[in-house]
Amino acid sequence: MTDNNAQNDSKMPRPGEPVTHSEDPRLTAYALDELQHVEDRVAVESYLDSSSEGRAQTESTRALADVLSEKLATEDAPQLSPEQRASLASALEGQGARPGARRAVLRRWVTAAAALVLGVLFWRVLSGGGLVSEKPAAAPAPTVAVAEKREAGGLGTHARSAGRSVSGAVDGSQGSGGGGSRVDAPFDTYGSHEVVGVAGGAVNEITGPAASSPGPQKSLGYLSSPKSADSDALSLGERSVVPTGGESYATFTENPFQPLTQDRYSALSTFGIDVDTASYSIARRYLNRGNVPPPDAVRLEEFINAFDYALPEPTGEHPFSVSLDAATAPWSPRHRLVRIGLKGAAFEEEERPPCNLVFLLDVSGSMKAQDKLPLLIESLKMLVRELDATDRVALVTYASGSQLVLPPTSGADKTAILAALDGLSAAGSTHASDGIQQAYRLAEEHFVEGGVNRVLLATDGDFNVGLTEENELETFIAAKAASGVFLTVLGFGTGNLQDSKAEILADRGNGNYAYIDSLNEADKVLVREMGATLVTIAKDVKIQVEFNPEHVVSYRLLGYENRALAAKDFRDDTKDAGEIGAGHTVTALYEIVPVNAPDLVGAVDLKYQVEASVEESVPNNPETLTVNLRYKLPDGEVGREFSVSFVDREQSFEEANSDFRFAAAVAAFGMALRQSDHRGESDLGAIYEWAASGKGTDPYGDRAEFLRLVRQAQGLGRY
Amino acid sequence: MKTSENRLWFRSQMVEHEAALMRYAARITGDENRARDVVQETFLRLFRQEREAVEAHVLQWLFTVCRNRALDVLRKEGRMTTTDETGFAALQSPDPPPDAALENQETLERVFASLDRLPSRQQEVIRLKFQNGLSYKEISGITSHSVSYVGVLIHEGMKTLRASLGALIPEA
Repeated sequence: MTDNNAQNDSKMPRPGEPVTHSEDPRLTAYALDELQHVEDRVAVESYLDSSSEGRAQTESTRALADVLSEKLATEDAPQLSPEQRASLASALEGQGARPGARRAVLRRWVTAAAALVLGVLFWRVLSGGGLVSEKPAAAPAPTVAVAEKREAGGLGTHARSAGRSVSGAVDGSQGSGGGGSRVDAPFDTYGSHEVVGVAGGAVNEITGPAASSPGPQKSLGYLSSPKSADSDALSLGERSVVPTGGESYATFTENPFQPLTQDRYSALSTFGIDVDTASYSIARRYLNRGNVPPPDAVRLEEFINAFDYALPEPTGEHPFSVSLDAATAPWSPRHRLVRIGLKGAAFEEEERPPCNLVFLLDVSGSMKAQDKLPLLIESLKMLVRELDATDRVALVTYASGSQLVLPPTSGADKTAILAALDGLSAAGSTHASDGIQQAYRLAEEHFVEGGVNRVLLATDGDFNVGLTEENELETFIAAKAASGVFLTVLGFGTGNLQDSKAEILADRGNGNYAYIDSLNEADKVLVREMGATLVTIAKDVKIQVEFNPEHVVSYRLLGYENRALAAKDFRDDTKDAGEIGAGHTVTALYEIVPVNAPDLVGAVDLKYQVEASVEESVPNNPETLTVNLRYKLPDGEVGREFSVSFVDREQSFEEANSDFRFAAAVAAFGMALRQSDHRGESDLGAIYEWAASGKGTDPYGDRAEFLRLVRQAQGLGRY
Repeated sequence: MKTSENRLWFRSQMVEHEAALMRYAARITGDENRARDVVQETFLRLFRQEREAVEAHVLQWLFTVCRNRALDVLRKEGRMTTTDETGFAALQSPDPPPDAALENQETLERVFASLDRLPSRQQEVIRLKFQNGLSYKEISGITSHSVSYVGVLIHEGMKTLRASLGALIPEA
C-alpha cells in the first residue's frame, strides 16, 4: 500500500523547526516519548517553557495514553478454532522434533551437581533425627564456600579485654586449610542454655538472656551480657491495598537503614525467606507492553530471586547451603553490599519423590482471554509431560460451581490428563463453591508419605473458591499446610489480579506464588524449576543476621519487607516463614554502612569525643556479621538451627563474581522501578552495564531478557 | 529443523500474540472467520522463519504479515473501495469484556465508542500504539506510512479522544 504523505505535508513539520502552536504533532510525540530527532526535543521543550496550554496538553495526552493502554488491553478478542491451533502446533512439531527431544527437556530439571546428595535421602535421614544436638567435632568436612576463615591468630582476638565473656559465631572450618571458606554450622542449638560460640576448640558459654530468660531469639554473639531480651524489631504491619486498574498491589515502605544503637538488639535483623518470583513477571508484563509498572508491584526480593545463581550444593546435614560474599555497593560506593545465598539440595530425576497434585483451576468467564485459560492449559500440559507412573494428578475447576473434571489419575496416563485439560473452557461467573475444600480433600485422600502433596491454584484473581468470610480462606489453607498439603498459586492474565491476596495465600499455605505471563515463564516455573516449585526441602526458613558494631554503623535489607520478623520470633516455631524447594536458590542482599566510611567527610573534626587510641581501634573480632538460620524439615515440627560467620575482605564491585554483579544490578533495577530513595548513583544506563558484566553463560536467556527489559524501561523515559 | 528450545519460542509467540493479531485481522477484514484464516496463515509463515531472523522484531513482523494477508483477502473479494483504505473498524460494536467490573463498564464503552468514531487510519495506529505497545517506527514499518505521518495520525486521533473522553481522563 502506498502512503499519501503528500496530502499531509502541511501538518508535518521539518525536524528542528520551532513549535508554534498546540496542533504540532511533535507535542504528542514528545508526550509519548516518540520524538525521532534530538532537535525536536529542544523545539518542543522551548515551546512548553512558554506555553501553559502546551504543558496541560502534554499531561492530558499522557493521562489519556494510560487510560487507553489500560482499557484496550481488556478488549475481548476472537480466537483461533481448536482445530486451527492443533494444526499450527503440528506444523511446528513437524519442523524437526527428534524422537528423544523431550528427554532433553526432562533432563534439564536435573541440577548439574546433584550427584552429591539425594534429597530424598536427606528427608529420611533427617526426619528420624528430629532435634539432635551434635558435637562440633562431628562437623562434616567444610565444603561450601561461605564465610571467610579467620586469619591465623585471629582466634586470639576473640576474647575482648574488657572482661566481657565472649561468644564468637560458630566456625567449623578449623584445619580446613586453603579455600578460606566455611560452612553450615555443625550443631543444632535449641533450648534455654546453650553453647553459642565455638572457635578453634575454645568453647565459651554465654550467661546472657539465653540462660536467665530463655528468649527465643538467637543469643548475641558479638556482644556480651545484654540487658534485655526485648527488641523493637520490625513486625508485620498493616498492609493497605492500592487498586491499579482492577489489579491490586499492597503498598509498602522500603526497609530503611537501621542504625546499630545503644539497644544491643539493634544489631539483629530477622526475616523469613521468600521464594516467590511473581513480582518480576508482573513488572515484565508491564514493561513489555510499554507501560510503567506500579511501584508497589515491585518487590526487590522477588526480582532478585527470579534468577538462578551458581551456589555450592549442600553437603552437610542441612538440606541447604549458605554462602556469603560482599563487595562495594555499585550505587553507593562508600557502602558495602553483602549477599547471602541459600541453595536447596537438588536430586536426580529418578529420585524425585512421587507427586500427588491437585489442580484447582478458575474457569470463570474472565479466564477466557488468550493469556489466561489457553496459556494455563498449555502451561499445565508442559508440567504433565514431566510426570510419570508414580505421580497422581486430579483436576478440579471452579466457576459457577466446582466440578471434579479428572479424578486422581496416574501420571503415566497422559492421554487422559491432556484430554481433560484440552476439554476445559471458560464460562460463567465465579461464585462461592466448595472447590478449595474439594481440592484439599482429594489431596488428603491420596496423600503420599514422603512425597509431594500439593494443591495448585490457578486463577486471574478470583479467590472465590468456597470460603468467603474474611480470613477464612487463609485460616483454612494454613491449617491444611500443617497437615502436609502445600499450596502453589499460579497467577494469570491482566486486569483482575489480586496480587497481595495471592501472595498471602501462598505464604499461609507453605507454598509459592508465581505469575505466568508467557509459555517461557511456565517452562521456567513448571519444568526447569519443577523441583523448586513442587518439592519443598525445608520449611519456615528464617534468617537472623547479627551485625558486628565494630564494623557496621547501619544496615538495610533489600526487599523482604513483608517477611520481616521480630527478633524474638526467630526461635518461635509457631511463626510461619518461607520454604526452600529442591535445587532452589534464595538470595538476600544487605547494604551496609561500614564504620570506616563516614558519610560526614565534610563535617568538622569532633572536639568532645576523643579518637580511639590505636590500640583500642584494633577490632577484636574481624567478622562483619553472622548469619543464623533456622528451619524445619518438610514434615518436621521443631526448628533446626545453624550459623555462618563472615569477614568482609573488601573486594571492589569489579572484583565480585558475575552472579554478585548481576544480582546487584537486578536489585538496582527494582529500586529504579520503585523510584527508591536508596537508588543512589544508579541510573538505567549504569544498571545495564552492571547486569551485562554479570550476564555469565545464561543458558536459558533469562539474563538477556533482563537486559532487554532495562532497555525497555529506558525507552519509557520515566526513570 | 528447529531445536525444542526454538519450537517452544515459536509456540509461545502463538500463545502470546494470537489475541492481538485476531483483533487486528478482525478489524481489517470485518469478519471473525476471515480473521482466523489470516492469523493462521500468519503463524504458518512465522514458523517458516528462522528464530534468529525474526526474534528482534517479531511483533512488527507478525503485524506486517497479518495486515498484508488481511488486505489480500479484501482485495480478492473486491471489497476494497480505495487502495489505501483498510476498512478498519468494520467490526460490529465490540463486546465489552465479560470480566469488566460494573464501574469500569461505562468507561470501557465510552473508550471503545469514541475510538470507533475515529477515521479508520487513526484508529488503526492508535490501537497499534496503545493496545499493542508498538512504537511510531514499528507502526510505520507495519502500515507503510512514514514515521511523521504516523505521528500526525496519532496526534489527530488523540486530540479527538481528549475532547470526547475529557471527563474520563484523570487530572494530571
